[in-house]
Amino acid sequence: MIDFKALEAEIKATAKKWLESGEVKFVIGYEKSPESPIARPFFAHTPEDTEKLYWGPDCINNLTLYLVEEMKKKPKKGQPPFTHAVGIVVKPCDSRTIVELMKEHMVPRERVKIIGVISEESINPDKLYLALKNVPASQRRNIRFHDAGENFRITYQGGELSVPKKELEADKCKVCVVHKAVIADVFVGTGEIEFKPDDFSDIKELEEMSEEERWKYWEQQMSRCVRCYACRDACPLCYCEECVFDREKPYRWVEKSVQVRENSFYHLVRAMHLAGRCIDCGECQRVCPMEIPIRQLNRFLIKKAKDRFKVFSGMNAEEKPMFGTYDLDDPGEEIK
Amino acid sequence: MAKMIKKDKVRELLDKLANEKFDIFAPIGEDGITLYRKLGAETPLLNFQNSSKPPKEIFFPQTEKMFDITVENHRLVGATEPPMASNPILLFGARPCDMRAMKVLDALFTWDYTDPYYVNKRERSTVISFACTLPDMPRESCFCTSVGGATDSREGADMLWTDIGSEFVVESLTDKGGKILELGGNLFTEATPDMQAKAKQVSQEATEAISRKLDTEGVKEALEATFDNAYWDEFSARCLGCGICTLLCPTCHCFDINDLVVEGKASRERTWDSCQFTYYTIHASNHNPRPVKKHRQRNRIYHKFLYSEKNLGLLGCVGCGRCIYGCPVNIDIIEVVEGAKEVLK
Ligand code: SF4
Ligand code: SF4
Ligand code: SF4
Ligand code: SF4
Repeated sequence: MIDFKALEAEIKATAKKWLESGEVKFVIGYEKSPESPIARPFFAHTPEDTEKLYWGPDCINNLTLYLVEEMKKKPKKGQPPFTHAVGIVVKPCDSRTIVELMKEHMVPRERVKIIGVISEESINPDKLYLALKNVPASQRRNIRFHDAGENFRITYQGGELSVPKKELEADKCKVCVVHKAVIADVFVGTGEIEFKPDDFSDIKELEEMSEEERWKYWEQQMSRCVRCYACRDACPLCYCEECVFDREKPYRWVEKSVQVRENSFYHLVRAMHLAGRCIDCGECQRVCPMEIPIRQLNRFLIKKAKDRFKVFSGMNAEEKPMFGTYDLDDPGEEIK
Repeated sequence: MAKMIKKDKVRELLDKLANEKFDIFAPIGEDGITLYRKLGAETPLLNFQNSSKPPKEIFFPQTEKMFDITVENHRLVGATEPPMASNPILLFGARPCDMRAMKVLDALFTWDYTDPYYVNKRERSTVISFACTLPDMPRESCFCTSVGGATDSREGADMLWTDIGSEFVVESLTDKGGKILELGGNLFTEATPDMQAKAKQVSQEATEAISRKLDTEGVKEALEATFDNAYWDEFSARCLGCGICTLLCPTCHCFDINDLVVEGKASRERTWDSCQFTYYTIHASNHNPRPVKKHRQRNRIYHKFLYSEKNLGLLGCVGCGRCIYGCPVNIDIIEVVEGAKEVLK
């Protein structure tokens, strides 16, 4: 059983040490929000700030996007390049993003100090809201999670409830293949967690559809997209200096009109830009206010990259990026 | 006199109205969320959590064609406006806060220029609001009662329906509402005093269930005084700059006008824009007066709680809670506004 409080204490202590010694400029972690049932991103700039750091299965955001943001900052003209390091708390899945970012030379190893938490699973906020349905809104405060074997014991202001973990599990966790950070300076938590190989059964149904059926399915989904671009903005691997979908000059790649034609173009291009890179943290789908199953597109390409190019992203920083290599043995006559 | 209608008679009423050429928009469940869609033969949701996208899109669609452009030999030779429709529109099952929000849009679209596209649709419309009742409403992020609203607000509606179990207590508020009563004929019957008392009671219970509170006292002063404060940097550091909090806000109304050519046909259309997008304020010179997230977040809050009142005489937030519920990083407008007041202390 996992003692979330103990993990939190270790995270706090490590972050505090790093900030006191000045090894890192700040630490990117999670804090508990006063009103929302789930945790939110937090930046600890001083040793005192670390008191606010939090850990629980509701630490859902992939924080590495703030790491890239910091790494992309450039000094003023004539000033030496930045060299400061940043601390970050990562779940196993998020650690794979850092590996991918290293591969792409976006994060130099010496500029990041990683607290890798061994985690069993994250919860799906939508399912949490559902589980809390009968708790009056006014009591949905101070929500904390306790590991009780098969269940989470969830305490809130003035009560508690027990929910089977399986009922809260985020979809991405069902197919997780790591469960332990692939890269870290400090590991928090113990235990080997077994994982089952990913068989991509979740996209089987889609794969088996005829092209026409599949198009119909996606047309329906795409018709709901409001092009808020949250899926892109939450993605740590969507870090282009200027996204093609924002570009206005000298011409637009995609019209502003929100309709299936333009929406699908956006999603297909974005999916292609992530082929062989996406590590399936699931943030794009989680943040979507329109409940569009964007992960399925990515999962489709993860499978393709694996089957056709033997690429599985975010596991080894020494590997070359899939799109950055050309091998005579690559499949597909058309691209040779 | 209050009327009532049985829930199992609702579809019959809608059929009657459809026969009268009403375009009916109503809440529909789709992949786990509620959306207002043009209604066909299906029965709309009668109990639902507030829609993900506000019903403003019925009057102010996310993308709307303004006119077709005729091009000959690469020259623009004329423009044809699409004919304005004239059949009536029925918005069925709007939440009270969303209809209060329409007052902001009404004021805006008739401010210094009367927008024909919007006004035409508004004038043709009849609105049936549903009072918010337990257990589906209020949501944990609702705070209408802090910004002048109520779970049974009648503002902006032609009828208010209150769910008391197997029937709705129906209150007609305008002539347009009266017309619906007339068309519904014997589907509407007198509501007994008990039913009316019950309607009052369920609304009261829903009001009591609202847990979020914002004290608007002193907000304007706080905002006026903190424009350059580091506070705006602090909370916006985690913002992603996505469009959720604005595109899904019922009072947000920014749009962008574009010309486009599709399959050889040119047209001009307008599409919702968001002040959270990087290029929202970019000038032709490439200068961007709101280059970073804090400027954009600050603008959103100032627009809702300061500029809107100055320009239109109405608060720009109706407390629907969508921006709180939808934000991926829990930027909570109540916390942000209360925080600005704290800065002053
Ligand atoms: S988050 Fe959802 S609604 Fe927003 S752009 Fe992405 S898919 Fe569309
Ligand atoms: S406040 Fe939240 S919803 Fe709004 S732009 Fe920032 S991240 Fe997106
Ligand atoms: S600012 Fe937020 S709470 Fe207020 S009306 Fe807009 S979306 Fe609703
Ligand atoms: S804010 Fe008030 S009126 Fe709006 S949905 Fe919530 S309870 Fe209903």
